[in-house]
Amino acid sequence: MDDRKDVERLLDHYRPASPPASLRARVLGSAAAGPRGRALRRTIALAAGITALVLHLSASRIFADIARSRVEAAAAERRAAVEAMTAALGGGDLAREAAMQWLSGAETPTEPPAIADLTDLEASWFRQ
Amino acid sequence: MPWSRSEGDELADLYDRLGPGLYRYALMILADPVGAEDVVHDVFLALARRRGAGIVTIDAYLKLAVRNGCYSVLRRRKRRPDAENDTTARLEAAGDDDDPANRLALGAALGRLPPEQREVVHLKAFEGLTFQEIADLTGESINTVAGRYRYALDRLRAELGDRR
Repeated sequence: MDDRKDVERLLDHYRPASPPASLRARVLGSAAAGPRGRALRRTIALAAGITALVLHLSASRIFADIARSRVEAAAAERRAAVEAMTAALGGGDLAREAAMQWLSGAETPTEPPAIADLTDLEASWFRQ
Repeated sequence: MPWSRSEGDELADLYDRLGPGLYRYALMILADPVGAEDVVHDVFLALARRRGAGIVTIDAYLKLAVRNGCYSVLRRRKRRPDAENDTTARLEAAGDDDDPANRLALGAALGRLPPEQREVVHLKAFEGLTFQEIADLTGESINTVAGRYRYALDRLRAELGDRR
């Protein structure tokens, strides 16, 4: 029992620490802002998020449009080349087929020659 | 709507009168200064939103709100035990007589008590409430409250050893 009294006497000398002064300012600042102020901050954050999303989607669409227009331009160019070559070969289905085959061959990327067909010197270039 | 100037003054007066005591209460339950600040802030903010509507005894309302806030924090911590906090009950001298070594040792020993025991020690030793008043506040029986106080003092005595 006396031991408990000793602890109680020790506790009498102390108390929990006081709050920091910043807590008062924080409490009063938050209350002064009011729910409208807090709602406004939330709304601004939400609007910023939506704006970022819209900009992202718009940019994606612009890039897609650019890619699509390039593909369409290339197809038009190819059609014109086929027509020109068909006419140069005398016209008709056979000429068109030959023109298309020739253009397909011209569009196929060239691959490096098989290494077995090369001279030792040429092969050494590819090995480097 | 933000508080008007007079309402703001009223809240400032209320904080000056009750805020420090409520912070100390929260600090002793949580043994975590940052957590205690958050709880007191949230309680005053909730009061500001309600503008005191439906509150009969503001002192009792705030004390209970702080208590509930603290135990909510403790429940969340229990679910996420990795979110470990500083569990030293920070103390300051009540008078001129301060032995920093004793103060730190007592704070650390208090920090190792279960929150419920720390709360009873706070209400009895630091706030001077009777066991009956503590029982009324906490909703526990008077025997439970007295038992927690005894266990707490025994543990403090054992932890502090020859320091007393």
